[in-house]
Amino acid sequence: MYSFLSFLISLNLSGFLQDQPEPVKGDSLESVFYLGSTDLFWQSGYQYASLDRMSFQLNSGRYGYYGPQPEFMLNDIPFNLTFFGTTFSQFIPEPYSRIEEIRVNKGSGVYRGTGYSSGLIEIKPEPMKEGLSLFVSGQYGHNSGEPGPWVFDPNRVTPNVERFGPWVDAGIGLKISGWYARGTLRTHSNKNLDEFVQTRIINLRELSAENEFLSVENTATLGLIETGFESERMDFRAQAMQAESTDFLYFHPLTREIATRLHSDQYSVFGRIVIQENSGIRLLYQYREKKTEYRRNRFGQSFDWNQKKQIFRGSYYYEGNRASTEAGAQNQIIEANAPRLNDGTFNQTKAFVEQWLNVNKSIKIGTVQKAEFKEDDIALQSFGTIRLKPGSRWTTEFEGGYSELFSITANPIDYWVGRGYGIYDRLRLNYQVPDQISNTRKSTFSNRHIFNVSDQFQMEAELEWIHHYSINIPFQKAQYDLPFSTMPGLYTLHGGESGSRYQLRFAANHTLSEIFNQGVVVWFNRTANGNENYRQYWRTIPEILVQYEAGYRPYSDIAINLRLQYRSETEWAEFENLDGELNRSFHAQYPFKYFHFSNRLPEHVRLDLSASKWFWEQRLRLALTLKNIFGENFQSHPIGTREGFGYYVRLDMRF
Amino acid sequence: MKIISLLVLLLIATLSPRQIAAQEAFEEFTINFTGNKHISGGTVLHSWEPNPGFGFEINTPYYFGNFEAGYRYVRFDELDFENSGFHSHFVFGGWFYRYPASPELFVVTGIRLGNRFMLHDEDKIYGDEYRFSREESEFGYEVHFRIEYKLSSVAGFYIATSYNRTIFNIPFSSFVGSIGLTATLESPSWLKRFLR
Repeated sequence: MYSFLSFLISLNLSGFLQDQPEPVKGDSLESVFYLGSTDLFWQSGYQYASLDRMSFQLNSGRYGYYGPQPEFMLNDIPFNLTFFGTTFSQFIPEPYSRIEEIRVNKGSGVYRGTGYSSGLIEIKPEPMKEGLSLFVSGQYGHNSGEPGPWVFDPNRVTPNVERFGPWVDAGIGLKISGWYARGTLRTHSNKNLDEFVQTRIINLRELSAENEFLSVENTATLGLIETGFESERMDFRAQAMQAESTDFLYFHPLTREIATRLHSDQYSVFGRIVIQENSGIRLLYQYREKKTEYRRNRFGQSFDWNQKKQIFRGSYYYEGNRASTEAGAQNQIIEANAPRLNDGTFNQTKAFVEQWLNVNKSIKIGTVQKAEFKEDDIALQSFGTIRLKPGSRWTTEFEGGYSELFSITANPIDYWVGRGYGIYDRLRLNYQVPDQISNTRKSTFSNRHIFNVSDQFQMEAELEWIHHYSINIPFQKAQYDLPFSTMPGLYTLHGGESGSRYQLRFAANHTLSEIFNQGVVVWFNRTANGNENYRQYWRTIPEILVQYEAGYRPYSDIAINLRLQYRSETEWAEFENLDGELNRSFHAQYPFKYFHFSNRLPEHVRLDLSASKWFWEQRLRLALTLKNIFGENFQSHPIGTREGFGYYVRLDMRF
Repeated sequence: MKIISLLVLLLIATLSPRQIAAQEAFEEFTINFTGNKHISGGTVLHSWEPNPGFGFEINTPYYFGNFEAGYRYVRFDELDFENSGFHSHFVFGGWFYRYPASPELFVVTGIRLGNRFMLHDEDKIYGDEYRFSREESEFGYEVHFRIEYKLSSVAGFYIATSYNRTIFNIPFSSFVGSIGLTATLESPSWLKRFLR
């Protein structure tokens, strides 16, 4: 293997590089190439479960798939992609082709004026260029196994299945000195009819009384406009975003999807005023509205949900040579309207302070303190960090802390049902939810080592210990049903469970030359103690996850990227009743297939290969991704799509 | 796809750095006009009969090897199922390496990745309930081998064979034979600028 790599690298003979255009800023080997949401989450280190490859339940390692989902941030403005515990990647306002990199903050902390409690993923777009700029990006792809000509045999009927696209993103920007304005429009379609889910999805959209099968395609559209100016003394941004998606929302208490139309509107004004050279204030006002509308389905199911939020936030920051601090407060007025919901309007306030002090060249200490107030309740979060530099190439960090989350953050569905929202009754669910849902409380302790072995080689090792004093674990024992995959059983919220887990992470990055780099990350996590409810919840998370990535850029206009992942077996106790039961393809389909559900998702290896070529001095780019080249079928959720070989093609244009 | 990965590695591994001559990228471009005929194939040929087809390709040297893009059209007539004939459009991009056997004769091996679009003559309606689109498409890959002969610095011809596999539910595999006329021209400056 090494000789093969050496051979590839040897191709970069100096003579080959003559007359090549210089790469634009951000388009170096270090910049990340995103073709889809799974690429984004690959970089984030969040593990995910997904039924349709578009919406995700994310796990940061601290709360599991059913825990709070991360916030996102774009240009200092936070946004939220979550509906009923599921993160919808269609609502990311920046096209993948424009994302230069992401910054991931897990857990609890303060970042650029935002006090986050369950992780924050910052999307960093490609910088706007001076003057007028335009971009258009189009993408298409699907999984293998399309029916082909056999659809025409009258005894061999099969639907046209599985499409990722067409996806079209377009935008315009104008930047004159410090002032800028930009607009983005995204429209995405996908048809999620993998053979593992098609019977269920088609049956959900069958109106048997009218003898009609409705379209099963999902379409999302998003528009964003933003204007602002940036100067040494002041930054100002105003942003408006509207998005809607005709979708299938996986609702965990029902253990399957509900056909739904999702709407998300957000209007923000952000300002940063510099007081002195290294201090200033950040101010934000934001209005968010999220609502669901009825999309016809066999059961007439509907969330009928509408939530408005107004967020007022102010913070002071100081960034000195020896010390830095950020302190602020946020007040949000929440107004929710839904059937039978009582008193859906209330305030939630939080205060936060983060401080860092360089004691000397070798020692740095930091603390984060946060307090959240809601009605008569209070939730505290407190963390401390000591960063030591024993040698020029070794840094070690000890961090410990305590955090508490309100149930509106950790278990939002059950929180709103507790306030009267009648969704469980509407869905005719049998459920057991405590009258009072306790706050989720945990403490963590971690030790991290960073070794800069050389300029080309870095290693990192981290051990994190997590103890949950109280975590509320939703549990739905699904019943087996052939046409719809599942029927809901008894839904229970196991309140106040406790237990401990540890997570070991090892990472290494190697930059061999300007044309080749590689990196590997290995996660190992395990439950150390806890009762059966706690243990079985965490068995849905793979104990071992290995991700290897290599980037090869032999010339300035071409890039090849390889990603290899190993994910160990997981077990979903909620789907025990489905284990070994029959599943099948659409009833009239050829070739008609029988297969079986399993509540154990076996270990798997996937290999993705991407290649991109620039044209016209980096104004056009053609990119191709072959995903899961080994074609090894795998799932991230027991009733979700089964991944096979697939591909994406994307054309980017920027002027 | 394991096969394709192995083939690519094998193809590259057979080249030693000594064999690789630095070349000016995009200095010239070649247009090929081809006619093709399916030589043999898998189960799809039991029910549909391919007619002779045509295509065109354009290629240009890169720093290492050559890039190409192309299109191939074939009409398939139905043998079994009424109104199931279809037009096949294979659109591809690829990379190949040209070994000079002599100043005029070249042996070319390469790989193509693309999409086969199929347009059936009619929508299929089943049982008055289900209407399935007559448009269908799927990813396909192709291993390509050809012998080129240069008649002059501009004109030439080739004879080629390709193994194509389009990974439908039942894979669509076939060997395609083709002949082509080639025209090689110096790249105008605007084209070189575009390709870079």
